[in-house]
Amino acid sequence: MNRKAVIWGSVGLGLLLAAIVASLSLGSSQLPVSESWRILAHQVPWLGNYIAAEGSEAAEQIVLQVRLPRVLLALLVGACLSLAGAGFQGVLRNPLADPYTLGVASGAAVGASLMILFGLHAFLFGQWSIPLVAFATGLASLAIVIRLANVNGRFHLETLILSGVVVSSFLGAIVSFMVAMSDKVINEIVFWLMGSLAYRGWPFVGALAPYLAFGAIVLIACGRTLNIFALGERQAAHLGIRVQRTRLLVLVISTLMTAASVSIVGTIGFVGLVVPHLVRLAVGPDYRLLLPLAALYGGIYVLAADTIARTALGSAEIPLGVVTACLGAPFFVYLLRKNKKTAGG
Amino acid sequence: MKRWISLVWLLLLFVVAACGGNGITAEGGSANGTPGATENLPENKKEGKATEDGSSSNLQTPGIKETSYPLKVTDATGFEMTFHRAPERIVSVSPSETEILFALGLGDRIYGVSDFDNYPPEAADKPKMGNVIAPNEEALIAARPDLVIGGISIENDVADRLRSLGIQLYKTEAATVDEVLGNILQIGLITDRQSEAEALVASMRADIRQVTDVVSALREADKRKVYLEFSPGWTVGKGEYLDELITLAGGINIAGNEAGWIQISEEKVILDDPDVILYADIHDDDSGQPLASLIRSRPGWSQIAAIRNNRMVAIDDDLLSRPGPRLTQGLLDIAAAIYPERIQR
Amino acid sequence: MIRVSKLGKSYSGARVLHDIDFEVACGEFVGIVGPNGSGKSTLIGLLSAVERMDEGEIWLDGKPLSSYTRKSLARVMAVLQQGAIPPIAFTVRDVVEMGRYPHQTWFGNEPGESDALISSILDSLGLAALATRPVSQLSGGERQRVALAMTIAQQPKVLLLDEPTTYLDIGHQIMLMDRIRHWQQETGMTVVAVLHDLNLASLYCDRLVMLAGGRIVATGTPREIVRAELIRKVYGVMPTIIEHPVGKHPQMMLSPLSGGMKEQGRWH
Repeated sequence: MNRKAVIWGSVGLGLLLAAIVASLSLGSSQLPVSESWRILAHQVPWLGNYIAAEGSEAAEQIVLQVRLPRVLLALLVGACLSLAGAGFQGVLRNPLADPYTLGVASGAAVGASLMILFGLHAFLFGQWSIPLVAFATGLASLAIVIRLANVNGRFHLETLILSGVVVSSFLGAIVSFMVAMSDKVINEIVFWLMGSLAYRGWPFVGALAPYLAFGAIVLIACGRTLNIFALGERQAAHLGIRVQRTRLLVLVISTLMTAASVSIVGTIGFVGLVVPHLVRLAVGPDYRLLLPLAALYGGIYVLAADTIARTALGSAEIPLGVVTACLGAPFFVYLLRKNKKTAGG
Repeated sequence: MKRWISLVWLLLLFVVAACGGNGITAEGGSANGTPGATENLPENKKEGKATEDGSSSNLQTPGIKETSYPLKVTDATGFEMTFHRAPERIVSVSPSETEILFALGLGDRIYGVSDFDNYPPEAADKPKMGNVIAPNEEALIAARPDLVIGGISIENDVADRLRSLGIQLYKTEAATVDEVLGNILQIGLITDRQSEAEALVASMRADIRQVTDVVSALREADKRKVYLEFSPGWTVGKGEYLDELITLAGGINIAGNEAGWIQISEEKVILDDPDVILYADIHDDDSGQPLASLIRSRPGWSQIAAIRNNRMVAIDDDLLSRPGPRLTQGLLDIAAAIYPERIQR
Repeated sequence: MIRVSKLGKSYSGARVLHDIDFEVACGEFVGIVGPNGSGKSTLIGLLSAVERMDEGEIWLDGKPLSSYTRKSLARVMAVLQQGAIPPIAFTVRDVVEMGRYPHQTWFGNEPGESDALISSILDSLGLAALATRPVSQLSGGERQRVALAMTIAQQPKVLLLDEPTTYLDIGHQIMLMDRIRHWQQETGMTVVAVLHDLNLASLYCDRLVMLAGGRIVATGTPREIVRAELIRKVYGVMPTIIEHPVGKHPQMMLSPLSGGMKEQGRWH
């Protein structure tokens, strides 16, 4: 196997472990680390018999119902967004493509804003109301973008991206309008847009996991195909690839993963853009390596960002989108400078 | 839906107040689903069953009204909860409710407040639980409360999540003066501080009477037009307690035709030409100016009667924004601001 | 091997190809020539099934072209374009290996040894030293050689060339065409090449098809096609035709329109 893959894979797994350990041990309630790990160890089926269930019920609640699902959700979201970003970059052959390019995030934002503006999250499905509606509007906006870009059953790359940009801008304007119309002085819509992993819990972990599982399998299987896409669409067709079908498949799956993530945690930027590039810098352009490693490092990135978001200021939380932007922007600048020398992959 | 329920509750309050005279007893108004409705479960009512922790829930001291537990109550989200004894570890993530708790002498039972709680001064020393919309889950659990009081900013999805974590959340939502008073009595009931609550409500009613007595002597033509700006660019219309305070104080709210929280139309205020401008004594975040300067500097406003005649009066921001024990202090301040010749402070 | 019958194609109402009929026998090296806009590239696009024809039929190896799936077509036919490999970060060896894609299973495996095949291809094209270099670091000529290696790795029965010598200097041009002919003669492959350089076409092709205005105006051997009168009619210039001193192929020499070598620097 590729030496780089082995090295970066191991480093990634090590970082993952470290990030999980750190995140589970930290929190605003400042539980003693040993107590947190005691509680976790007790949950492991075989190991649990040897570890007594000490510690208060409150500590158990915190570790098992607040921290653990949050850690897993961060990993899932990070993996989804990175995979989607890598997929978009591969199929659009554009290093600046990112899962938000085709209007998904703006679409989901419209749904969430509608719910918040009209105070509807009281009436529909409790904590599911916003995610469900946001997901639906996210997909609807993808459908619109694809419809717009459809020229006699074929999609030209430029038309697709343009149509995505236009729809995103339009939907973004609608969201701004709703923010302005909101009669509450404290603007919940803005908070939703900035992203947060608080108040989600196990049900959302269960909701997002299938998307990651399904999406990861499909995308990683497309690894070789995405490599050949780098030669250009015509050349890829000459080598036997069903270009239109593959492009649509990758875009739709990536968008589904993005819609699911955004509908649950709001719009967090930079993950889909920065992580695949960083991985590419390390392991090269081969998508068979890039995709799984992007998923791995994406999860670590969001987990690290979320841990900072919820522990940096005591009991106050920094919106997750702010942290990912602050971490991501310097990386992005570095990437842009590096990109001048090497060619795009 | 909530408005309708509030109306029923209001009606009930008036009926019982008219009949009962001395305040609200635990037996009153137990229609199903009515928020604030309470029910004493028959078994423990007057029997000498001492509870394990020796609480005096069943020893009736003559002259002092005591709450009988178990006590079932319904909060503003329509959720029913049962208290088996007076709560001993209380967290309040609503500044107005924190003030109520301190006013009822429960200061030493408070184990957490929101980041914004500052009155009374002791409140600022309590452990911080986060913001009022989505307080910190870990901090809440770690405080091990048997009662968490949330205010109007807690939406249903947040309430659901907190309850799923085993937190006994009681949400209050008072939009009228009577609802605020009812709130105080309800909290007094739950925490077994009924006498203190009734005394507080009585003194608040006395304040109200002090104002309404003076105001009843006013003829309609003498009433002054009032414009209230509680936050830069925002005023309040009918259905909110601030509007009610203005009306009780004998003023005519120029925004009283619309409902809820309203973004001002600068032209409309000029046209309406209020006699008195009341404003919160805060600074505008965007410009850094005090709100007074911001208001004065608006183009065309210098000809408004209130500014010409120098009838711009600052009101303590906390008094305006907190539907709590100091509400009637706010009422007195407002009345004195509108009719300084009739009411002095 | 290839049979084209009454082929027609329009783009947004404008007719690009009309009533195209011709055949290519197995093992033949056919050149398609003609002025700009005569429809040459469109023809290649139709033959390689990346464009859809509006009228007519194409048969490949006895079967209708439409009956081939993308991958099965790629097992039989390869296309070498101008500037085929963009400056990407994959290594030379990676790119050449992509040529094996049509023969690989879904998991990326294939029956038989492909490593040896690729190594021999790299050797024969002088790319062995560059095998681990990223393609982005190569010159245009080297990249086109890599493209050729990739198409050889594809082991097709039919090779389509779409002006493959564009952007190449004369040295690389001859090298490329020579390699292709060598490969063709070794394997009996059929080649259809769109070439803009009539002299090159004359040197390498068994037969030429001349297109103009979307129609075939002449087919035949280079001797029959590279003639002054035909070229004047189609291109609007009057060439001088000579016989190549070594191989006797007809070669064309051009003169400036304004006549007389004395008038240098003038351009009509």
